Amino acid sequence: MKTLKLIPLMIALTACGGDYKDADKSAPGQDVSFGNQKARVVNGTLDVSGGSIKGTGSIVFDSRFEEFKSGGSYAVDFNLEDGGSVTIVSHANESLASGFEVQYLRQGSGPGSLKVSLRAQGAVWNAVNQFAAIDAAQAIRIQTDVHNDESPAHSITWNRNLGDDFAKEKAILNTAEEVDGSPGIGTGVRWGLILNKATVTRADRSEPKFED
Amino acid sequence: MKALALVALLVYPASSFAGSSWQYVTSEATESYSIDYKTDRGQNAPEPAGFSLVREGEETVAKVYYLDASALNSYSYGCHLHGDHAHCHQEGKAEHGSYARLSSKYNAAEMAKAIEASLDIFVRKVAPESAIQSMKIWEAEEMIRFSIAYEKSGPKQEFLACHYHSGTEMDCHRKGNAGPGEPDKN
Repeated sequence: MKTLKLIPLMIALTACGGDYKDADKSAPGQDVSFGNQKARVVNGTLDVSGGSIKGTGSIVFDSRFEEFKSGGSYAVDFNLEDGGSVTIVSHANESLASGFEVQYLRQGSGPGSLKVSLRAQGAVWNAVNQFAAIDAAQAIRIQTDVHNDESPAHSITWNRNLGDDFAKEKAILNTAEEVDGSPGIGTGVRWGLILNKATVTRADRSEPKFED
Repeated sequence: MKALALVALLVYPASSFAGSSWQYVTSEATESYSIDYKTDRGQNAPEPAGFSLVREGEETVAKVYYLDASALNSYSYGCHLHGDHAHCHQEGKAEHGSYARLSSKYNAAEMAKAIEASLDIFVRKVAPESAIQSMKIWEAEEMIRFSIAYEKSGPKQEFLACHYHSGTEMDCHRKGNAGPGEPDKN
């Protein structure tokens, strides 16, 4: 009888997130460190250890923009399981809502298996063939600018597997050069990542790589 | 002497609209408009509200739109290229009815400057500059707007919006439609 009474208590303690048997697993609200950056898990369960973020969930970084009308650049390296995705969320709120999102989704293997979508303010824009040469089954190294001081935001993406020349002509996606290529702007000052069956090994924010 | 003239023709054929020829026409038409307006009315011309540029063989017909109270008026010019500049002669004046300019951030020189930035994208992403048949330029919502008619397996239309970003360089974005405020729309 005593054992039966203890079971709900054990379940409750576990659900509150106060006692994790696996120290590497981080749950919503938990502060974590990734490299020299501080961050917080927003939802899901992520394994933040050994220089990587792994699993399914979202994480918001402590560093933030001074105002939402600003620009940033993100160097993100990741691997995706089939059907998995990594989404860079720029200029969002602390829950990673209301941001400018760039999602990288793996569908299968080989060239053409990386599907990229941009979302903001309820609108979405899907890349058509800009990323067709990339095999999403391989390690991906992306540099993405988000100029949120323009309206709609201007986003430029380079494939760092091809080099670190961030000239406009070297970009694989420049939303200014696609018809209505940007869905809107983000309205917050925070940034983070949404992972779905993914492993991120680098996530750095810097000043925009390209300025007009 | 004849040889020099031939070289000049080869280097700068009047029918060639390579480089910033649309820009040259816009700048020269603006200059002519400023002079003609002052001659007609005895006062400085208001800043142009926009331009219409239509290629007609060797000539580009340039309309310079301006506001007279709340009415849209224009001076028309026939323009020919001569190297890196254009010569324009007045071909007429017209009234186009009521018009409200939706913003007034940019002047005529900045509109001419935006042509280069818009053509940079157009040539790389849409079609060669030689495919362009006409373009209209105006400002709305603090953006310099372009509606470009061109030929590519039939008549087509391209739209761009340009603005200053981080300094004095123009940044243009492709658009799915003309957006608001297109003058003399017909």
